[in-house]
Formats: sequence, structure tokens, C-alpha cells
Amino acid sequence: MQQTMVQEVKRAQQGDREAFIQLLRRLEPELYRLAKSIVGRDEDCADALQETTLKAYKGIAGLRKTAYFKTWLIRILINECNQVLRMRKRTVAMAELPEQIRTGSKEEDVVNSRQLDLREAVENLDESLRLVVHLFYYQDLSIKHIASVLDLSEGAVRARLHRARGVLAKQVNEIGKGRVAYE
Amino acid sequence: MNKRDLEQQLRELGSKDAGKVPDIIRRRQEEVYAALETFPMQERSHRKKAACVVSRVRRILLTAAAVLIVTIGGLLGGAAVSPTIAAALQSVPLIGSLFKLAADDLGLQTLEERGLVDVVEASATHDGITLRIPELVYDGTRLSMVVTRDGEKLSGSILDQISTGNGTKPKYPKGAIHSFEAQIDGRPISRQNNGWNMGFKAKPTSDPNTAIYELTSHSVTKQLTSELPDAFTLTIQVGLEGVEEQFMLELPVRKHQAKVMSTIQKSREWRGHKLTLSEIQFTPITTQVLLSVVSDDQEWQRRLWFELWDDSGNVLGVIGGYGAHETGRAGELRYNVLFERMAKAPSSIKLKAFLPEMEHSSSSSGSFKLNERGEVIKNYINELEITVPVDQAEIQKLYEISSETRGDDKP
Repeated sequence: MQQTMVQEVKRAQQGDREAFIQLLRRLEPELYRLAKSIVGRDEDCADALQETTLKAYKGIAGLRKTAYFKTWLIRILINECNQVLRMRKRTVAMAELPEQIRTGSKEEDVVNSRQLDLREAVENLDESLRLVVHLFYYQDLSIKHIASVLDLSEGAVRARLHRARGVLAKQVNEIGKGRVAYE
Repeated sequence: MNKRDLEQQLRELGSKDAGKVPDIIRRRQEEVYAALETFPMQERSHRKKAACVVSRVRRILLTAAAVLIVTIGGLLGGAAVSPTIAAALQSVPLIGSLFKLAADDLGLQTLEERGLVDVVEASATHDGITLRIPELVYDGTRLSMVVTRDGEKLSGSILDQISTGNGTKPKYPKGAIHSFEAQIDGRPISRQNNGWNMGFKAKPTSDPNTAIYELTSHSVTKQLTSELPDAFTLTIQVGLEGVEEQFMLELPVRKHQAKVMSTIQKSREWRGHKLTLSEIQFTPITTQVLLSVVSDDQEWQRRLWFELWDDSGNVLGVIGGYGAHETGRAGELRYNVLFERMAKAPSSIKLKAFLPEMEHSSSSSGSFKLNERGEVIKNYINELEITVPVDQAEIQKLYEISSETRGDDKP
């Protein structure tokens, strides 16, 4: 974790609310992406993030290892996302409203098609594999930290990453071939 | 693709969208941050105390009317059933609409005589207890319904709960409501699954077996009507203590169209604090007021509360309210407050601001100090009083609306 972040965590623990808010603001994009990969709907992501923020605010003074702040926050978020999923299971099936489509700039629209394939393949992974890929490649967490977040052994995390890479490589290659054949 | 390529692409993918967050997330996060700012953050050495403060933040922000629910709830609690009305109602057997039990709410009390109540008569029975929702009304600002139970060996009230303290869940006596969930056309109005900015609140009545549940907006900008269709099916699931099965009731709801809106935007300033009355909406049942308080002193801002007076000097009962700090509007606390309807159409109305005296004078939450008659002691701030003329003739027409004339019955 960056030195500045460690200092901010310490300040937040000493009662500096602005430091806490700054920390959370900076981590919002990463937290959102992780929540999105688990719960899907933006509205649910917003709920999970709000709860996470409040729980973190409540608990930060008690966090012993400041270097584990992000890991700790991600763990709270995953729990909150799972809570959202549990609540969703309990409710009657309902008509889904389409989410607003984000219109990006032209530069954004010109996305490498191979990356689109890969992104899609990641989102299609089983949840246990998808989560590990997100945490390792997108959140940049170490194997050790992922093991701590998911309550797994480091060996199990490595095994999942290995399996995920295998599935992704296979899928992306197949999509690539399909496109060539189709075109 | 080999492993190295794949790893590189995954990392690139990870950094590609790293900065993008949809507006809804930003907006909702700013709401949380703003709410945090209204509470002192405790240091490590005060950890236990901090947890207590935050649990209040959470309750305020995520489960009910934000920011000022403590104050609003406190004022309502005192006024929920006045002893006079309770005595009057107990001495006369109740015939007709159970909405007559709604204390300090002229709109609901007189629904039946004006033919505005929708009789739905939904009921379910389990283990010898029948739970009924006989009638409801939705006027575009609130959806109110009567919830009543009938069964043997029930003691206490339908809304009773026994606080166990320390933030643990309360306990309920047999037959009391321990859970209440609702779906609108199949979409739940629960925090985790909604997209709705609204929520239910339960109010006791003078009859221990009857409560009034009310759905109101949890937004300072959005009206209930902008979120709800004009007609929909409301499904209610109620859990009663001691009964294993949930009581499931389906209710057809339709909006009563008529309302008069006055957009006002009038402000008063005093010692650097600014009160703005933005909008008043009249329906045959409710008076809705949108207002805001701008101040650098957040404690003061949170304590300030309001009354609405008609031109004959009557104070309107408070039905409920929602207050929130909004993104990008530091120092501004906005409110959406519902008052009862007036007895007769006024030519003007008056918004009065006051600071209720607290039992512990330094605190902005907790119990209010009461006078010898058991009333909240209010210190009015005359400099912040706002009087505005309103369209008496239009409101008069609205108040005369009955089932024969109301707009939604017309083809």
C-alpha cells in the first residue's frame, strides 16, 4: 500500500474524517468494479458501497494493521455484496429495468476488440474464479491478501488463478477463431 | 494466447476502466460522506463511543428519514395520540373507517365522509389471527393504509416491541408485527433491492390492534408520483410474533389525481442562517412542504424544526418528514415534510422555525425537554418566520373534492 494511503489511514483512525472520505473517494472506482462483478446492477452496487463506507467508518479505529486497510475494506465489500445477493434470492422474480447505457467518447468507443472478448470472458467465469481474477489483476492484491479476504489458503488462491487463466485463454482463443471464420 | 500475453492484457484491462464510476454511485457515496460530516468522528481511544455514533448514522441514512429522523420521530412520538383524542375515541364505539383513529391527521380522519377512502378489504388468517388491511388512500404525497389484527389471547399493541438495548434486535410480544415488507408490482421496496427513494413508517393509533402504515418519499427532490405509477398492485408481507407463516396481502392502489401546487422560493436570514421555503403542495389529505436550511453551524441546523400555521392560527399536525444533505451543497440541509390538511382553505400560510429545548442542553439529539403540561418547549425564531399567500379558491375546490367529483374517476 502506498505510503500516503497508510498515512491517511492513520489520520482517519485518529478521528480525521476528511482523511477517511478522501481514502474512500480514491478507492471508489476499484470498489465499484468489484461490486459490479459480484452483484451486477448499479443500484445494488450503490447499496453495497454505502454499507461498506458506513461499516468502515465504524470500524476503522479498530483496524490494527493499517497496511491491510484496502484488504480489510474489500472484505467488508464482498460481505455486503453477498448480503445483497442473499436478499435478492429471497425476493420474487421481477422485471429488470435496463440500466442506462453509458455513452463514451469516440476514443473510448474504439476499444480493442480482443480486450472486449477478454473482459466478457472474465465476467463469464464462475464467481469463485472471477473474484480471484478481479482481486489479483484489477485490485492488485497479493496472493497473501486475497487469501485473507476470501478465507482461503494461499495455495487455493494460486490454484484458482491458474484455473481461471486456463479457462480465459481457451475462451479468448475460441472467440478469436470464431470471429476470423465468420469474417 | 500465451500466459504472459494473457496476464498483461488482464492487467491492462484492470487499469483501463479504473477511474470510471457511474453517477448513481457518486451521488450515493456523496450522500454517505455528507451524512458522516454531521457526526463527530471519534478517535481510537474512544472507539466504543464511535461505534454508537455511527450506528445512529447508519440508521438515519439507510433505513428511514435521513439526518433528522431523531428529531422528527421525537416530535411525532409526542403527538402520535393525544390523550384527549384517545379518550374521545375510546368512549365512542367506532363505526366506519378505521382511518378515524389517525391522530393529528385531519386528512385521514375525514377520508370516509368525503368518500376518498379506497376500501380494499384484504385479509389473511394464520393460527387463529386475522390480519386485515381494510382500506387505504394514495394522494400522490403518501400512501396510507390501516393494518389491523383480530385474534384471541393477544396482549399489548400490534406495534409493541421490547428494546433489549446495546443495539441488539428488539423482542416482540405475541401478535406484534416484527417484519413488514412490501412490493410494488413485484419490485420490493427494501433497501437492498430498490431503486425506490421511499419507505414505510408505522404509526400507533388509540386502538392497540390497529396501526397506520404510511409510504412516503425518502427524497428531498423527488415526489412519490415521479417514482410510482398511477395504478399498481401493492403486495404486503407481514410477520407477526408467534405465527410462523407470513401474512401475505395484495392491494390494488390508484392515485387520487387532484392537487394544487404553489412554488414559492421565499427566504429569511438571521445571524448567518438562511431558511428557504421552496414549495408547498396541497392535496385533499396532505400539505407537503419543501424547504431548506443553510448554516455553518451543523448542530444548530440539525436542531431547527418547523411548524406550519394556517391563517386562523391553527398549527398543522406533522405526518412525517425526510431531511438530507445533498451532494455538492455543503452546509445546506433540505427537507421534504408532510403536514396534515387544513380544516378550511387558507388565504395564506405561515412557516415558523423553532429550536426545541433539549433535556441536555448541549446535545442536538436525545430527549426533548417538556413543560409541566408535557409539551415540547419551543423557542421560536421570529426573524425566520415566512408567511406566503396561497390560492384560496383553488384549495377550496380541492378540499371539496369527494368521490363523485375527484379527477381519477373521470374517464
